[in-house]
Amino acid sequence: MEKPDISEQIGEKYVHTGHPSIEELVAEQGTRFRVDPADLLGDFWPEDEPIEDFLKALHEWRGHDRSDRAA
Amino acid sequence: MTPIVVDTDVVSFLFKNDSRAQLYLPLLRNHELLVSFTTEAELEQWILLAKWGADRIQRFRAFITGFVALRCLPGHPQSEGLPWRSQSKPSELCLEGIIPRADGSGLRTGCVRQREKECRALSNCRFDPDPSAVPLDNSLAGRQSQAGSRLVASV
Repeated sequence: MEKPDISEQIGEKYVHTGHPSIEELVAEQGTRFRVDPADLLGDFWPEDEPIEDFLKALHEWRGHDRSDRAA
Repeated sequence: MTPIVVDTDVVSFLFKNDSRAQLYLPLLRNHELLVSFTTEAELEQWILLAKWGADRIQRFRAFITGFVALRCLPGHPQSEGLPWRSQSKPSELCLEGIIPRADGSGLRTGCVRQREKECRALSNCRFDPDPSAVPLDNSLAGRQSQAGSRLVASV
């Protein structure tokens, strides 16, 4: 008998509970936690894209601006 | 290892290899690293806007596997979170996803409010704003009182 795909198994469970565990999410996403978080230091972000530009955009998307104290 | 939720700015410091990443590395050691699905969406949004090429996107996707994303699950309404309107700013919504840890304990991230149109643009989840949804403050208080076995990821 063909073994059900793991995403199908997990999906079926979600239908019933709606609350996947972290372990289930790890299995679904193929997460590989790094032993050393320094392994997550990237080398792919374009040099000509300042991180400040990203952070500025992020704050705008989240509605964080000086006139919006509640955000 | 205990899980911790890493917000978008810290993830960006890591991925950019910004000097500020060094400040956070000691705090990230010996933890399972989680990111909100919002963080994923925000990074993807940036990548789209900045028009990264296929190779950069592929490398980004490889690095993001170092985190587990607390995602909404398309097609499963119970896990797609409960949107509610801000009392102070009715045009804004919060979305709460609740995910317990397997051992019964839990974590909770802070809530970040999004304007409705931004929620729709940023999230890969389905948003069905419910005008009768629980007000923000009451909702948070209620969730907090319902045992610590829940992890709340907010947009």
